[in-house]
Amino acid sequence: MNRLKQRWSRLKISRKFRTAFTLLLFLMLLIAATAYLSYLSIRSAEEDIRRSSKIGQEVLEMDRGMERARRLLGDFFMHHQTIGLQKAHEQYAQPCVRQIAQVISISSELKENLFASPFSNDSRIQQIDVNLYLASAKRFADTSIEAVELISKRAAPERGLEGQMQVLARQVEEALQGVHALQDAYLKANSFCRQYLLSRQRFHMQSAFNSLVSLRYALADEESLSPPEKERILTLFDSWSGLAEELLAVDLELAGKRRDFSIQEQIVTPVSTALIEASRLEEIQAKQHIDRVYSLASVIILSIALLAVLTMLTIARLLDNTITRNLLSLTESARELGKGNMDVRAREESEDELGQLARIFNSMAAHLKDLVENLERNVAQRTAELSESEARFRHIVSDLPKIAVQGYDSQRRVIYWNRASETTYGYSAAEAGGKKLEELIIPESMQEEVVSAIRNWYENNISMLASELTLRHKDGSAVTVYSSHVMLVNSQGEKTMYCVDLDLADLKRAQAKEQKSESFYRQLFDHSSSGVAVFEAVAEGQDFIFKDLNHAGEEIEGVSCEEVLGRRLSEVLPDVEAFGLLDVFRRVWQTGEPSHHPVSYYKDGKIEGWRENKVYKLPSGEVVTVYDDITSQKQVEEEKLAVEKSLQWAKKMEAIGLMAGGVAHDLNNILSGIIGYPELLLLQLPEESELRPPIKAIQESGERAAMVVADLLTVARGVVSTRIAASLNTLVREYFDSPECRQLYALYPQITWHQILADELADISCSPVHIKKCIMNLVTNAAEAIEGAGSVTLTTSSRVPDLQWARENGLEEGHYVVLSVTDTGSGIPQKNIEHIFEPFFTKKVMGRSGTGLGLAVVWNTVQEHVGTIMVTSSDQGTTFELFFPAVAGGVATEAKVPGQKRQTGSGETILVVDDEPQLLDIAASMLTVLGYVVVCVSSGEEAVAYMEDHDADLLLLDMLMEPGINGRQTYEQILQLHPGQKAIVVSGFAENEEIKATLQLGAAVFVKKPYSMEELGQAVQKGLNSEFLS
Amino acid sequence: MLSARKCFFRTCPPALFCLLLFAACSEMEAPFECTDLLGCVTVGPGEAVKIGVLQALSGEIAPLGQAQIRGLELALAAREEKISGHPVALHIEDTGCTAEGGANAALEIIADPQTLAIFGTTCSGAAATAAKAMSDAGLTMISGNNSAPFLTSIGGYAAPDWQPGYFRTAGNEENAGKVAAGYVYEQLGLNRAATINDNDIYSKGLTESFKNAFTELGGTIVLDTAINKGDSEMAPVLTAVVNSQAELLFFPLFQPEGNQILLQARQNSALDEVLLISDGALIEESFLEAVAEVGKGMCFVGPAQAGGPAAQELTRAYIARYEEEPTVRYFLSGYDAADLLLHSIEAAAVREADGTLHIGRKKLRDILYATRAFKGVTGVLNCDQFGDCAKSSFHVLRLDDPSLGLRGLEANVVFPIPLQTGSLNQ
Repeated sequence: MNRLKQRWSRLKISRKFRTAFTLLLFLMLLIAATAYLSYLSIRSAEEDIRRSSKIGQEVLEMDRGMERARRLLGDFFMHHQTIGLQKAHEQYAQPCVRQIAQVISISSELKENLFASPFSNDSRIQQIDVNLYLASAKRFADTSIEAVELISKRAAPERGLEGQMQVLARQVEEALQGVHALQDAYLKANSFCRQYLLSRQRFHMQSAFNSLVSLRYALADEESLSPPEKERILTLFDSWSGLAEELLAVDLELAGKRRDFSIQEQIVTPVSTALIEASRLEEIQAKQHIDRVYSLASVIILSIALLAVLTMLTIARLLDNTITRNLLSLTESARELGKGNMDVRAREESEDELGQLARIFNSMAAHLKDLVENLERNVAQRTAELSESEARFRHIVSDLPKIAVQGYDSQRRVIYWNRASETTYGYSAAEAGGKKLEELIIPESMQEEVVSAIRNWYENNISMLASELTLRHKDGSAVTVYSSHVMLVNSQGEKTMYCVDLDLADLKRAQAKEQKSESFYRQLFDHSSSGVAVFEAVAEGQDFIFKDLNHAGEEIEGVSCEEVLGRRLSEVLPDVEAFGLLDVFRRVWQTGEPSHHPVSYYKDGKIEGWRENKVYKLPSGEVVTVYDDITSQKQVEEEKLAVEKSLQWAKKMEAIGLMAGGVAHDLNNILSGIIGYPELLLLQLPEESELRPPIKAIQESGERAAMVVADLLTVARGVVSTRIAASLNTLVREYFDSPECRQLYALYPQITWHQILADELADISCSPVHIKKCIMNLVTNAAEAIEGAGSVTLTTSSRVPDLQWARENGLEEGHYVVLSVTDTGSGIPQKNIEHIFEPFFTKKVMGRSGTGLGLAVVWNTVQEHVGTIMVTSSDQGTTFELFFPAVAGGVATEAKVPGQKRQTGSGETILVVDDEPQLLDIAASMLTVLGYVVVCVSSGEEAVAYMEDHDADLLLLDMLMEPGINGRQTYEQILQLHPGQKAIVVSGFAENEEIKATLQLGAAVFVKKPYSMEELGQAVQKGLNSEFLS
Repeated sequence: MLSARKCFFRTCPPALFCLLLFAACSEMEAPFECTDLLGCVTVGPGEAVKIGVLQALSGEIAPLGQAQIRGLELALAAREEKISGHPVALHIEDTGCTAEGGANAALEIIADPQTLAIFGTTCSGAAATAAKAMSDAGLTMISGNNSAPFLTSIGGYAAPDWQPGYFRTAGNEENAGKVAAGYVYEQLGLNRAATINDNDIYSKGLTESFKNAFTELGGTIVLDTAINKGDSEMAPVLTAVVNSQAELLFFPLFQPEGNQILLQARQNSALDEVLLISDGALIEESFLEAVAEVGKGMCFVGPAQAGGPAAQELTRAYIARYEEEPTVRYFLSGYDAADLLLHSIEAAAVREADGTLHIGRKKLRDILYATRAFKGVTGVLNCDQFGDCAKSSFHVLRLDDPSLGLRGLEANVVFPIPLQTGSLNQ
């Protein structure tokens, strides 16, 4: 025990506390661990209960299911004869099969649940029992199905064995009608059979068989029956015997099945009882386990808690004895010491920190006593040390190089003169001592001022400021110093002024040298070809003021240095913040690192142009920018870029053109049929015919498709070059009066439509059809962009864009007429804007509206008209601005006359040449309707051959007829046979070089496929009426 | 010195640990991995090897089943009740000598996945259904009493009810019908025969083989009929025999139906001249006691009984153990079946150091199929691919003096056929 006490006493306080708290923590952890383990155990037991309960439930369900199945099967056996086999099937057999299937399912699931889990080994439920139950259930299922089949085989109405035997029995009875002896024997056999059916005892049937054997003998002897009759009766006997044997076999099997059921029941009943009991016992066991765990955990927790309390009390006692008491003792000793009792000492009982503290306290007390006793000696020693220190500093001041220190009394007499003063002013300390300041080093011009200032300081405490002064050397030369002053007051209140003068002679020489260097750099600055500007930071580096600007800078910005000097950068260049240069200045000023502001365009009200800046920070803190004006260079680059872009676009469009041209040709040929035949059909149909609307619909669809093909051709090949001078206002008004626009009104009733047309608007040289197409496409797009209510505004205006803008947008300088279409829709995402003019680019739902060609047509049309398009879009809406060059004077207009009367012929002969049989047929039909005599050939060669022997008033030539000669070649050869032969040209292509060549040969007109009868009639008339001009 | 001690205590435990680990590793065997196609049965240390027993243990046929179990018990006793040092647990089920009884009893046996093999059955009808269930479950089954041809092979080909894993040490009675036909036709000169079976595959198989052999010899089957198990009224069927004018009645039935046929036939004077011939199922003490003098003159076709020293030794052991004379001789073939099975299990078992046994189910079957020249008490056993392990050798016995009992009957061979080696027993 004593050893333990000594050990405890040696422990440090922290260790004592740590030991105590560790012990407590351990006890707490013990309690927690016990509680946690109890919790785990209880949870596991609860899980067991749940599982056992579920298993018990499943076992019960399985058992009940099995019982129900057995009952149903028993009912089937019992009632099938009374209620009929079909009904018994439905009421008993089928539910029985379903029930047993459910039992099998439950038992399979039970088996899986029981023995797939990691706890299966702990289960009281035997795998053997479950296996057996499952196997028995399956066997019951098989057996019951077989039994039902056997019953069906035996008792099915008519086709069952018993039914068939009855039929045969009736037939035998009929056959033996009147033969009494045989009838009696047969009745005996039949009686045995009936007895069998009642008892299912095989020997009855055997008796029946025996009777039949006797009957056969009797039949053989019977003379009243003919041999065929006997033969028939014997056949019936054989059939009956066969069925009876079969019935015996079925009954035997059925008996086996019944025994099977009985055995199964004997097997399953104890198994199911065992399963139920096992699951019940498991549940009970789990509950008992929980109770045991509760009891055990309570006892353990209580014991540990008691132990914890006892431990705490022991620890508290120990801590009181070893810590608290020592602390109180130490406190009392300290109090005594405070009262001046230098002999008081603390108890040093323990080895811990308090023991150490007591020892330290005692040591301090002893030391304190010693200090008090030695204080005087220490003071003397300290004074000596101070004197030594003062001498050391005096020596330092006296020997300071370049710093002249002088001391003056209130009468300005020298009381101190160090060596540097001797060097600086030429007076030795001995010479200067006792002399007045103004007599020694103050020039006469300053004497009055200096004397006054010193007096003021002495008398009025107004200190003298430090400053650069030019004083006088003993030899009379000027001495430049930076002079500062200090007034010292001693313990008697006497004042002494000290002057500390720094000799500036070296500094001045260096300044002179620097001035020379600056001149050199000034030359560079002034003659640099780049603009150079120097700035000084203001507002803590947030802005900069011009300090200098070289000549090149003046020329670049068009300002003089004097104009900008002292002004803020943000004032001279108002947009410099947005330009980004101010940020670069700030960064360079803060970091000192040079920076580059890349080529950027600056523009404000006065100054504009492309600039490139390099920014540096000077050692002086000033910021310098060296910059160049690269506007000209940039313009050249932009023009080059625009040309390249234009070339790329042209190549792209050429590629699309090649593809679209081919497609258009084929489509136009196809559309010729779709447009042509309906027109012909409509001519033949009476007005009231029900077929007219659908045929018209086909025709209109064809016409719409033709319009799409026309768009495709516009995108691919451009706008036909025929231009007239037209007023944009007129075209806009015409569009607003068009059926298409009215259709839009109807489609979008919530949209408000506005026209703001300029009063005096110059004409533009244009293809009105295409311009109107542009208007229609833009307005349609605008309407479709609006969801719900909104407005679409068409504005026309005149504009003269500035040169820079015009160049940037690829326009020539001049006067432009502008068409603006503005909607209040949701806008176009920025990422899509650069693609919207590409062919087939669409964000509309494909197939609902839009072909992806609308804006491509607009773009091509505007490009063809040497204009440009500007698009601005936000979530508030989109504006398209179309710029067209204005024309000064008008050009003769040529407008199509709508609704012209159909042009009919007067029996003229027309040779139609086309390689497409369908198109040949359409053309022939139309021309026949129009009153012409038509001859058709399907190739150029045939046409030439025909014309060798015949005449024709007009040729209708298809251009492309592969693989033979084309329209132009055909026409050339025919012209050799019939000079002056009139012709017109048709083609699915847009006008191309071959067509132009054919027109130049003398063809009167070009008709584009698909054509209407009206268009064909007019073209033919034009061809017939034309003069051959070639 | 102190530092040396410290060093010792610091270095010694790790070194000892390493040594122990090394020793343990050097003795460690690779864990057993079952590669048997039908799976393995693992019998832990001290655990019992489980064998199912399916026999007819109720009704009048019970003595046959009991004899089989006694044969098994004697075989186990010869091995001190152990297989490879493990005790043997027998799970005995009664088949009732019916097909459905066999099927259901087999289910009870198979339900325990630890069951390795089945010893049984007594009746072939029960064997047919039990063997199917057993075979599907991958077990092995061996009988010392089944003799129906349907269970193994007929004419050298697999019989309809043959199942892989089924073996027997009782002879295939395919030849029993031939022997009976030869006796009645060739030795007695009888030409007209009637047959009665009980719809069991055993009696059907036997009548079938008799009919074929008899007609092949030139005889005529004038009646081929059946009774049901459990029938007691035999007058009508015997009337049919009379009507058929048969000279002999072949009725390979079990008790009690066989008893009833005999007793009621003897009451029918029209059958006085008709030879009654039955099969080995009635070569049993209880039958002889039941029919007593009435059975006089009746014939039986049954397996030639082994009478060698081993059989005599076993018979002595039987009497010593059960303190009674055997009521049937089939305990000998039962002993052979059990002995062959136990021997094969030992051969198939892989034993681990701790005594654990791993027995591959297919391996057990393969070993049995490969049995050659196994010395049994009934003779040398060779198993063929259909599971027949005993030679099929049959005699016709005639009951001349019922008072001599079973031994008298077995001694009275009236048609000793030379030992035949059937096509199945190569």
